[in-house]
Amino acid sequence: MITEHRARAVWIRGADAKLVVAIYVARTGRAQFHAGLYHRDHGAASILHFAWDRELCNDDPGESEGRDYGLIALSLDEDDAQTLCALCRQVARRHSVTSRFRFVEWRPRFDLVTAEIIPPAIDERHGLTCATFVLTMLRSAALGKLLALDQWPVPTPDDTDDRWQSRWRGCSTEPAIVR
Amino acid sequence: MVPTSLDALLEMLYAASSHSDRSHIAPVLDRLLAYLDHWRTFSPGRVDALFERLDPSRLVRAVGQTLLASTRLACDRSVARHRFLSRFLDDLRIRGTPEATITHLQEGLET
Repeated sequence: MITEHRARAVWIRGADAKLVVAIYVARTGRAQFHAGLYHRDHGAASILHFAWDRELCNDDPGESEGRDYGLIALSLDEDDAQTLCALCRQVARRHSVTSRFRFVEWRPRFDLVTAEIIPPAIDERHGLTCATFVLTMLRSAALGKLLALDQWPVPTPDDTDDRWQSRWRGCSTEPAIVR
Repeated sequence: MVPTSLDALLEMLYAASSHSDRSHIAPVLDRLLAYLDHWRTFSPGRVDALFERLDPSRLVRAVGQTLLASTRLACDRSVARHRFLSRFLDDLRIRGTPEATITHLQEGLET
């Protein structure tokens, strides 16, 4: 559980451990958040996050200075955590500029050797967001069932998220994005 | 990263798995992925040889599941991989891994 809302870094259960994977959540606007994967396997910690179109970053947590963020540690055993950390390192090395930022998802996974997305995107409308990137990583490490996707609320037309997506679509120079 | 020879890789995986300090696992997982990256293109037979020679009972689970999670493309679905997956799951049962965990892994790694 996140215990403090405005702290620059909210360290929660497991995040100071030598081996940990956590969901990274940063506030980027009044009602807008950015997500990624914090990973550390007995070495330096990194935050792997899909920052924008064709921009996958694996940042030092220190680079998030000045940004409010929290970490939600995943309750994985050592084996699952080390598998996911290895996959984070591999995807970070191989996938920095390939993924498209799109709101239409198709539940793919990364092939962790070639960095191919499997199955490939159906067309230009399909891609990932910062949040679906995290889900794709968990699915790639065979941990997808940590999340009950079918219980997620259905988007409501003209809610905050819908308006943000509409604004993004409006400023995109990429091919038209539709739901 | 220059790929390690199969013999050297096996020794590294077994040595790291037998060590009580889990920090030894991360570098060998990276070596394992580099081996797969290189040989899957140039000589897939060496990937099959890895599947055939790896003994799951001498590995921490993270090694086996990283290997299997990294080889789920259609072109990777060899008999050797299938046999390793069976041995891997059998070994988990011998270790007393909860059946729910095994089922979950099986579903994730078979496809």
